[in-house]
Amino acid sequence: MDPNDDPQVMHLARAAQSGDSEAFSALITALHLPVRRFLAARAISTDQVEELLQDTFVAAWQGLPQWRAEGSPRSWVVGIAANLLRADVRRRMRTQGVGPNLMDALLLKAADSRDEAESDDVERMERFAKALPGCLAQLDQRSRDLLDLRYRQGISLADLARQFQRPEGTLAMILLRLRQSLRRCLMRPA
Amino acid sequence: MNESVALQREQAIDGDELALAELAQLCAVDAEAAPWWMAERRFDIVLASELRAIAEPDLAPRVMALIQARPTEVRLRIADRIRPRGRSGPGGRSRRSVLLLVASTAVAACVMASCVMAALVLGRPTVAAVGTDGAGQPVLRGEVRTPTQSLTFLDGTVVRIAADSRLSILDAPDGAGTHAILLRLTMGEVLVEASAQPPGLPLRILTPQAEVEVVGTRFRVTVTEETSVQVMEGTVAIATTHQRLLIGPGQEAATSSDGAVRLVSGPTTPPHRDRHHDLYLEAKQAPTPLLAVGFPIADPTDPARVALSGAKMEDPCFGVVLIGTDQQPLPVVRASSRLSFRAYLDAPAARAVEVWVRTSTGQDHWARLDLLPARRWTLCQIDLAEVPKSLGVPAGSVLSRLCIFINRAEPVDGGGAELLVNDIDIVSDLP
Repeated sequence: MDPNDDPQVMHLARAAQSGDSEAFSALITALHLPVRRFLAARAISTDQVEELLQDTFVAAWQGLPQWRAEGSPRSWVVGIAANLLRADVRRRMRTQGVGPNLMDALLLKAADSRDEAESDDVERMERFAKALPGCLAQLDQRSRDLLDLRYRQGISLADLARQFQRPEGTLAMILLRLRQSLRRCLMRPA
Repeated sequence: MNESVALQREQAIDGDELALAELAQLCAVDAEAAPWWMAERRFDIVLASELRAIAEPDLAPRVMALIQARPTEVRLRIADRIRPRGRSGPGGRSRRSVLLLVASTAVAACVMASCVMAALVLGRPTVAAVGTDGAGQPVLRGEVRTPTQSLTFLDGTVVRIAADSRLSILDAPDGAGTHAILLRLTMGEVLVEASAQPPGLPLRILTPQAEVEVVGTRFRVTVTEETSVQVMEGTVAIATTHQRLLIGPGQEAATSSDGAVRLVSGPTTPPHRDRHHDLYLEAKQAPTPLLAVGFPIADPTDPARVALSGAKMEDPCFGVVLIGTDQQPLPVVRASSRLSFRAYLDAPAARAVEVWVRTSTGQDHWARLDLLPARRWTLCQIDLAEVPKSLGVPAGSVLSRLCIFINRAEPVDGGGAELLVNDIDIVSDLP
């Protein structure tokens, strides 16, 4: 069994396999963060993370009958995410090619060639996630709102400029400084 | 990093084609640029993902709703990203792709030298002829060499070039019909006799001040300190970052230094169907059976509208666009689904756009977008991933109706709306 799996997760997976949707719901709650972080370390956009995250669990639900009950549920679900990511990346590479966005193409290629081992990123991503709330708390409310709008909600710079009644260049610099500040905080030893 | 680089970075994230092209060019002169960009984007994605995890600590309800609400084997994905800057219709994406293709040649030099990975990505440049000049000689992409006086593209479009003009071919149709003509005129004048444009691939001309997009057939573009467009036949859209104007036969429009577009001469009645208060949908790669219907709305009680929409509208309204029918509901709303549209309002009293959706379970949701009175064109965006805020629709819902209303509560005369749905993509191979 994967050392990251606790017995409760295994129990939930087995119950879900027997058709218990509430157990599957609890399994999602238990596993969605590692799957999210696995995808975030490889995806080319936040949207891709969100889509594949939900697709992973939909696929897991459909694939539960085939799951070998002695295997690690976490590794199995992460494996589904890896397969979906690979398929999605290759589909995008096939349909987008290089032309539409060279920068995305570079990210796609990097994602495609990436080692699928989850362990490489787990520690770094979990450290990041653990430190983030504290680092955000050090910012003032307006800065937190700006980060939320820009990164979580994906609001464009032009729309933010209208909303905050500031020039786009000024907002870009504010975002730059916020990112730098967050990075410094996140890199600081616990 | 200075302000201009910070701005360029943010604009590139928003999909701004020029910013992306400039970023790609930066890679050509700075070997660290591509890894820098990837590291920046990775940080953005991880940060955004963690912020979403904080905002939505439990994914289970969304996934369970998705599992339980899957009546169809087809999904619709709407827009990876909204690209509001400099866009003017379904050709926006190809403009960006073309600019990036131009830049990619330069980028290849640095990236291919530094890593095999990029070499695999970049591939070979295209060198096929895209048409002929006045002497019948083949013409390639790139700057048109003087004294060429006319170009004939493979689709039959003819471009006549005035003396001392500077024109570049950024893209042109190929045999497969997957490219549109994209030209850059930096100085001088061209007269264009455009062939019928395939849907979603309009001929466009970039000038330092504006983007001119063919809706019709015959027009003249002149670039001095401003860009002016004179239309002989058909309809042409001229757009700056601030405004977009459709002009028709006999009309001439010009840009101003403040980014506005003004009608210089010709009849003042808009030649476009906005005159008839139409609403219509423009969709790229549209899945035909799942399209919206657009119809005249001059008379809200027009039975033709009911017949077209397949729905009975309970409220008299100024305008509406429907997506989906009872028989073919709008498929599952994915986490990243976004909808954007431009509302064109020509009446002083016009003040609000409202969006109504009905889910397959019969629940109705409303959102109201107030418009700035000073702006005729307003880009409205609905992020369906944020539906709890905007429309109150649970993610993963199946929509049976989506309607856009203009001034629903207070019908006024004049105006219209354009609904623009980006990058529709059917994913039929469900996991």
